[in-house]
Amino acid sequence: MSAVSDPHLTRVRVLRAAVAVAVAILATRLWYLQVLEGGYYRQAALTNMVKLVYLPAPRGRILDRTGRPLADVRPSWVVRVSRDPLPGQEILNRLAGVLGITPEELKRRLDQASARLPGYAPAVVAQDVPEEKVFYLAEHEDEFPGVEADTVPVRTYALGSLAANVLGYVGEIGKEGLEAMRARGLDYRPGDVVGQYGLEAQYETDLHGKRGTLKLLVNAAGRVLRELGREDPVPGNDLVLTLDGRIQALAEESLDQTLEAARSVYDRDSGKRLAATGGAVVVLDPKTGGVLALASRPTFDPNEFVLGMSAERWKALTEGPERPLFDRAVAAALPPGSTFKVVTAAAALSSEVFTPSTTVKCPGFFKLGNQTFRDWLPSGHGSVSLRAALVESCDVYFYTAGSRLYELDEKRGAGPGGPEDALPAMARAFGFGRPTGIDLPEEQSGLVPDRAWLRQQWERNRARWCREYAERPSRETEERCLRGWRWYPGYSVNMAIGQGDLAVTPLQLAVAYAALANGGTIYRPHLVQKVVSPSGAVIREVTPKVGGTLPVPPSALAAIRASLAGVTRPPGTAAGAFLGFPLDRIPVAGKTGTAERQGKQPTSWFAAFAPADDPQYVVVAMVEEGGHGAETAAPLVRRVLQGIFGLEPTPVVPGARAD
Amino acid sequence: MDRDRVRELARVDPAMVAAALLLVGVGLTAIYSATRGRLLEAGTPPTLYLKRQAIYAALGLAVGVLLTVVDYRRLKAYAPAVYALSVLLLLLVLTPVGARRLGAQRWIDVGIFQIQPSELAKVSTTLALAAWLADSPPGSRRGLVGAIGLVGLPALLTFFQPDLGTVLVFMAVLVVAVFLWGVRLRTMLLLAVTGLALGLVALRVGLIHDYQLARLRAFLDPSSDPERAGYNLEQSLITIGSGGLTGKGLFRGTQTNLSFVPVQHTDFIFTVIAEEGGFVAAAGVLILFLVLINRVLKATAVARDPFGRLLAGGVAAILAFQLSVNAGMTMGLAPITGIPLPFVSYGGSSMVASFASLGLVGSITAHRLPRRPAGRR
Repeated sequence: MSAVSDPHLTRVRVLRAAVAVAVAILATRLWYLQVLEGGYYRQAALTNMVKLVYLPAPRGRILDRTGRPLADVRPSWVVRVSRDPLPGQEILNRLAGVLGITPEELKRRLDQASARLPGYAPAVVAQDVPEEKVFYLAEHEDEFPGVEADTVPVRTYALGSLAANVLGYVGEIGKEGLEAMRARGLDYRPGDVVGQYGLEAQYETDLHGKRGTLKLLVNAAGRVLRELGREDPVPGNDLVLTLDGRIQALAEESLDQTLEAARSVYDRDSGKRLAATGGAVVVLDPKTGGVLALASRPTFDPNEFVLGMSAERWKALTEGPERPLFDRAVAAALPPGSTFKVVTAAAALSSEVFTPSTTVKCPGFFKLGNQTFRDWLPSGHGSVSLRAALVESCDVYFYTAGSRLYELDEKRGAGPGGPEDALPAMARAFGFGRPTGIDLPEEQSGLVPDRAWLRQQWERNRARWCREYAERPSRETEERCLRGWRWYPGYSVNMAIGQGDLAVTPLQLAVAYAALANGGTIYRPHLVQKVVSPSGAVIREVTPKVGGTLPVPPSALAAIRASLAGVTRPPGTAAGAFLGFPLDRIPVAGKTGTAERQGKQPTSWFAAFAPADDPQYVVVAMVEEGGHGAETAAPLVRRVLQGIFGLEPTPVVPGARAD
Repeated sequence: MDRDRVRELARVDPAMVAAALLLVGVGLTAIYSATRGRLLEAGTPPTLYLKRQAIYAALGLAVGVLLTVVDYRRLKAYAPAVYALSVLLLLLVLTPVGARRLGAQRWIDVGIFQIQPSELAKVSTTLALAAWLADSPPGSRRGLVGAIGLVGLPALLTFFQPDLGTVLVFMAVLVVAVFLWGVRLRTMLLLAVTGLALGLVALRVGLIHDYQLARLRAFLDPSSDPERAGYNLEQSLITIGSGGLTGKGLFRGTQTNLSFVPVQHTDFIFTVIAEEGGFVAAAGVLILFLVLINRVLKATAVARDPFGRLLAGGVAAILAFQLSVNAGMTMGLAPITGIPLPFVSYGGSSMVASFASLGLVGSITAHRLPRRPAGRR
């Protein structure tokens, strides 16, 4: 055989070179991974081995002023499924069988949880699992690798829907919420349960606590080999409220009863039964601004939110006319009607357009230029002074006061750039037109219209109004386009009886009446008395905060107070509602209000304080489409006062139709 | 005759044998490290896999020595029969006789152990290919077409298991053998283009499984789906990278001890070495392979006939390609396929096949000189 040919050797050399190149590439890659990037991969190996498990902190409780828990924490069993690696389909099918759901539902929950959770954290597939199922899973542990069950602390509202609009509810933190918390430098994570509404939201950082961590050594199958370290969660702080659970229950019960009774009342003006779609009751301590009760109807059960709810249920709660999540006590801004007359009286007396003994003739109407303003009582009230005007709620007296105040404003050149308009200024002094500052996130500020506001409105809308005028010229459109800024005397006259664009919340009205009752101090209302740590140490205490003092002479306030004490006795507008109430022992001062609303039945108001000679409680009630103040809201307040003063609460029977 | 046999055996390249045996030793150590924890946990002796692999290695060594002693030219006559047998076994795998594992049908259960016919087919096909090409005029069309058919049949059967990695090994053997046989470079190029086109067609008509595509995607972007296909690669990279320059120490690999890499004692054995022995050990393994393959290529150079040249060249192709793809896939340089690291990965079929192929090369070096006539002794 001849020697190996040269071309063959060349080809072998080519192969040799190819192998050398291949090995060189492998070695280079090895050097890159192990030496150049070694540090990175060492870290990665470390995080591979160690798994952090977060232990949720029990949320702080919310207690009423007597220490009764309104919002508490209970243990709830949850079942989690490992996602790294995911257990086999067979195991999942078996688990679905134990949980009593279809495998498809289990898959859906897994996907849903996976979409929200970062990394490989196990996904919660069932909450509030009955104990016997948990025991079954524990006993058959070997059949369920990758499935774990343990208890987590969850929120519970022991008294159901009691004070629901005050307490609010909790839910998993949303994307925006998470970003907002992180922007504040707070350590929140996806999946954290946070307050979404009410006090739960307002005091989120106090209630939240600090989550604990569990450091575990795990293998690739996710099996825990050893605990490496543990940091226990720190429970959140408790809130002690000024709210009194007993009075709250009383207020809610009375409100429910009133709404039901009102719905069977035939309303002559609208020709229908009263709709009584909702309402609110506020009970304040006039000496501190502490809220004793804050009720709103319709309401909801915050327990429904704890484990998440369906989209349909959420829609039902937030959309539609009922809006149970709309806290009417602090967020419903409505014309206050005649309850506002105390403000008009205060303005008239302090600007000295009237004295307490000034009398006004009331023929049942008031003429202003070519306009006629009617009294609610067509026959009129005769010749009335301040006392009679408030007791009988004579509109003409206040029309006259409003007209005088208008003239005064004109003389003083009130308006933008000049002094404040007298009546709106007094309204603002009573706290209207701005938030009261209560510790709830949903509060509305209402509206106190005045010359400056009107001009602002006109400037904002002028272009549109003038376009309308150009398209459809009429007296009305011309007026709005050219003189929409002008404050007509009629506006002052209308505002004097709490009508027009004026809008107040039940809470604002309660704060105003509290100031009237306590001699002129506007308190900032508050729900939380103190924040207490789990060990019982007081972390923060709320002292009464003064938001202002009424610019009204004490004698004028005394005159108004004395007049209001007559409202609940004959011939007062609320005398019918207080028939049988021991007024001699517990005198009640109050004012009815019936606020007209376009296209709707009137809003029924009653604002009161008692005992009239040494006010301990301010009670304000509002019933949407509830008819006259005397017929719906006044008996409601009476029932609440009966309960507060230890009397047997009598049923609310819609009473006399009087303003 | 005995003295002749001994003299011939002495001609076998000691460096080649030493490299192979060292690789087996490294493999045994790595297999023990990778499996002992899991075995202990399961309550079985931690040396179970170690012992089995040692038995496979001994078996393989015996087969290798036997094939070295036999003159390879005498094996040429058996090539068609051995080839036919392995094709038959490959067919058998696809029938219900074949055992399914990890989503592929690659094994045949033979009582106490399972054999992987595709491992043996690599060797027998190389043998048959070398025999065929050696008897065909270099560069002839008939020779080339026959070669393609010869390799194509087992490759196709392996493809349906599916075992894409082994299909590629067959292709590598074909390319190298045809190259050494003396085909014109232009023809080589044409072959390469055709092969590539065929691969694309297979992809288009859905012959490639979803999981294979997913692995390919994971190879191109490891973070694309770390929970499934990308997981292997990501863990593999972490295991290798965290070993650093000198490694974490024998039995001290955290990744290995906590079994983060699937099938670590077989296809991903390289990661154990890299984690516990670091760059030093892993690069050492690469050097051992370089020595081994170079020695096999040396046999190609010194072989006395085309059959020997082509046979040794085919064996070099198997070794070089398996090293590149196996080590490459653990480092993210190649897609993840089920190719073992010769002599190192756990597995009897692979071990015996590797030693058998090395035995063929040994026979080539042992019988590279003509035996002296008996009368002149």
